[in-house]
Amino acid sequence: MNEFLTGLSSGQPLLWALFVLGVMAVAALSLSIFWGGVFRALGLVRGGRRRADRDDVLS
Amino acid sequence: MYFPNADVVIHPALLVFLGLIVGMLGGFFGVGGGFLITGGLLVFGVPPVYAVGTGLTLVMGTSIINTLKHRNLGNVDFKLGALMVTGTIPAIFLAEWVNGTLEAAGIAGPVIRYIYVGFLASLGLFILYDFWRTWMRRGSSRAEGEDITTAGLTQKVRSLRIPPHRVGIPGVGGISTYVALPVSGIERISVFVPMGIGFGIGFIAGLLGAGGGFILMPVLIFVLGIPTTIAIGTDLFQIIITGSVGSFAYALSDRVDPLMAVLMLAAASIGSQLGASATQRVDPSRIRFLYGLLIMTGAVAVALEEVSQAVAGAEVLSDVASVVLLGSGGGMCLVLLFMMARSRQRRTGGRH
Repeated sequence: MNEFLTGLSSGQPLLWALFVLGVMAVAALSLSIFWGGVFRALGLVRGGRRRADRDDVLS
Repeated sequence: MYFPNADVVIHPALLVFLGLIVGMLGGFFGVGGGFLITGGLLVFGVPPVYAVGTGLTLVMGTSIINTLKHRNLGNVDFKLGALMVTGTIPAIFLAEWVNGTLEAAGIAGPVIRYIYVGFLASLGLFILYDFWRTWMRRGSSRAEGEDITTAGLTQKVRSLRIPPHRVGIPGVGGISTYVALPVSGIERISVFVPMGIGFGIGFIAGLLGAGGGFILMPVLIFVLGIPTTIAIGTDLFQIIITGSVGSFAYALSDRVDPLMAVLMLAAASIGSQLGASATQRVDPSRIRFLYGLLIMTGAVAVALEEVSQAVAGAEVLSDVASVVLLGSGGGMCLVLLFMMARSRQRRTGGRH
């Protein structure tokens, strides 16, 4: 991978610049979706647990 | 870990730490954090040209993540952001030309740093002054919410009438140059106002080689009178554009290490979630106060950098500047975590 990165950056400046922007944009979107899903799942789990606690108290 | 483009070896834990701080502060204050990243990378031994280029690339990535998070929270005014962008893009190119002229005259470095220090110091002082004035006006109670000292100015700016009031478009007819920005709470404003603000911010950002978020956020609050959380979200949307243009330019001249940027971005994405969520739990006046403190620290760091370059034998001050920046950034993150924990405690306490 090291050769690929150094080769592309020194040999194809325009392609390299587009590659850098593309990699960052895709990484940012993927990470955003991933963490969004994780936090939503955590919220659901915590919400479910809180409801269960409340039901225990009521019963 | 070896980073082939910058040709440097850095422990990944250091980059993860820096990414976490940048992501958290970016999500909370609505800034790209370019000044923090560049300072941090320099301390880690990254060559200066790669530190700036990689920093701008990370700014672009974190701004995308933070904008998406703030969009979910309803904090982004895309209409206002799009209007500002139309002014920002030509201004960045104009600033690059001015930069080139200053560089040819051999005065680019000091001039840019003097402007930087001046901007940061006056912005920081003003924000702290605004907090103090609002606090005093309320007497014994604390400054809270969206109270600002420039309410008169925001009214004047919003009611500016700038010709032409209508523009003719073939096939469509006359279109008014006034718009409503309901997300920002603006009933009617001339499109030339946000475009002019975008132009000014783009020019300063291009001149200083930064994303410009540190100026735009207070301008949106104190000049346009936009709620703090909306200003943060909209500011981040604008930084995606300035960050992309900057990183594209640096990547063209092979001054970016994408491996380093992606590693820091992974850590920043976690910090972003925390920082953006914190805006919902911390009072807007406190967000502005903490921002004022951070900006003042930035001014001190850039001033130290200038002294280190101007005075022979004072090179160590450059490292001190970077440590001051990283230390204040880390400290600010701890304060945020503490405030979030306290707010959570108060909410759960209130429920019992």
